[in-house]
Amino acid sequence: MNKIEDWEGFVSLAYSHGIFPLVYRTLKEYAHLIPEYIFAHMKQNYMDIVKQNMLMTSELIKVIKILEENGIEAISFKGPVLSQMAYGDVVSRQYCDLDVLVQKEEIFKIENLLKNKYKRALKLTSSQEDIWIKYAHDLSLTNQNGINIEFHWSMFDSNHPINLLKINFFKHSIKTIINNQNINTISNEKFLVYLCIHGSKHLYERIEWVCDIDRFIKTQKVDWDIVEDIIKNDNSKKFFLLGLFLTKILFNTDLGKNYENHFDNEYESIRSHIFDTWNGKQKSDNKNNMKYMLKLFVSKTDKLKYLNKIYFKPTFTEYWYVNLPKPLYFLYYPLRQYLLLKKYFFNKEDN
Amino acid sequence: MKYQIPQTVFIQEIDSEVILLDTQTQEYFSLNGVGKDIVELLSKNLSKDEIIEELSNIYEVDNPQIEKDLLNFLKALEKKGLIVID
Repeated sequence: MNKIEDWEGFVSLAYSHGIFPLVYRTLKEYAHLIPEYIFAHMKQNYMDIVKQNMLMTSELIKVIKILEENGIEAISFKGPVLSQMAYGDVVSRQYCDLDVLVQKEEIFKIENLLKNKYKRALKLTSSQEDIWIKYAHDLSLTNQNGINIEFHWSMFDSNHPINLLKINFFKHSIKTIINNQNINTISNEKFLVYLCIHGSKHLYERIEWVCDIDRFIKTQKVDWDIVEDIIKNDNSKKFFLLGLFLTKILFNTDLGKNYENHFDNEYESIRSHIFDTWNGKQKSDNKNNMKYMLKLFVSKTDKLKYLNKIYFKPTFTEYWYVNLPKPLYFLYYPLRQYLLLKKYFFNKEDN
Repeated sequence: MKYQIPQTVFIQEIDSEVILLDTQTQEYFSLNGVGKDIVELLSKNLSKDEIIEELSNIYEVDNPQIEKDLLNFLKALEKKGLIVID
C-alpha cells in the first residue's frame, strides 16, 4: 500500500472495474495507511453504493411482486440477486440496473402494469417500434429516481452467433431470499454458464465479472455434469471456458474434474490481452479486441456472422437515427458504415 | 406483545452499523451500538421479554432499566414506521 502514489486513480480504477465495495471492505482495516481525505471519500462512496443498492433491490422486489400478482412469470438475474447469492448480501457488488427475464409476449402487458412509475427512455414511431421489437432483446424502463429495469426476453442478442437461445432459462428456476422475500432466479448451472458467456462477450473489461464467477462457484452448489450437458456441443463453449480459465488464473478457483485441465495456449493469449487492457497497456475496444474475440468462435460461419453483425448488418441504432420508409431500408447498410466511421474515426479526430 | 419489522423495511448490516430503508418513503436510518443489537433481535421475532433478556446478557444492566430504554426506543421506531406492534 505504501507504493500507491495516486490514490484517486486507484479508487477510480476500482470503481470502473465494479469492485469498489470489495476493495473498500478489504482496505478499511488499513485506513491508517490511506490519506485521511481519500479514506473519507471512499467511505462516502461506499455508503452511497450501499444505499443505492438497497433502493434498487427494494424496487426489484416491488416490481416482481406486481408481476407475480398479475400472473407474469419473471426470473431475476445479475444485480441484487447475483450479489446476494455470490457475496451474501446486496451491497457487495456494483450494479447500475436491474435485469428480469420474462416471456416476450408479456412485454407490453408489463409496460402497461408499470406505466404509472416506469417509462421508456425513447419515444418510438410505430415503424420504429416494429423494428425495435424485431432487433431488441429487452425493454428498458426507468422510474423517476433513475432506477432502470431491463425486461429481457432473451439473455443475449439473437443476432449474435452466441445467443444461448436453445437454453430454457425458466426451466429448473430456483428461489433466492433477499430481505426475507423469495425471488425467482435461474438455476445455478445456467447462471454460471450465463456469467461466463456474458463476461467473455465483453472480454472481461471489468474485473468484477471474473470475481462474480469465482464467488459464484465458491458459494453455490454447481453440478458440473449438468454444466457440461448444457455446454458440451454448444458453439459458446470457448466463451464459457474463457471465464473458467480466468477465474482459475486469478483466484485458483476449484473447477471440478471436468474442467481443471481444459485450456490450451489460445486461452493464455486471450488472457494476456485482457490483462494488458486492465493494466492500461491496451485499450479495450472493438478494434483491439477483435482478433481475440474471433478466437472464441468455434466455426468460420460464426466468425463471419459475428463480423457481419458488428460491421455490416444494420442495428436498431441506424433505424433510430433516421426513420426511412420501407422501400429505402437498404440505405441502412451504408448508413451503418457511415455511423461506424463517424464513431471510430471522425469522433476520434475531434478528441 | 410482539414487535415486527414490516416487509416494507429493508435492513442491511454494514460493519458496526445497520441501515434501514423505509421503501415506502425512501428514508434511510442508520443505527449502531445498542440500536443495532435491538434491530437484530427484532429480526429474530423475539418477544419484548426475550429481547430484554438478551440485552441484559450483552450489556450487564438491570432489566428494569433495559425495559425502560427499550420501550422508548421501540416507540421511536414505531413512530417512524420501522416496526409494527402485534
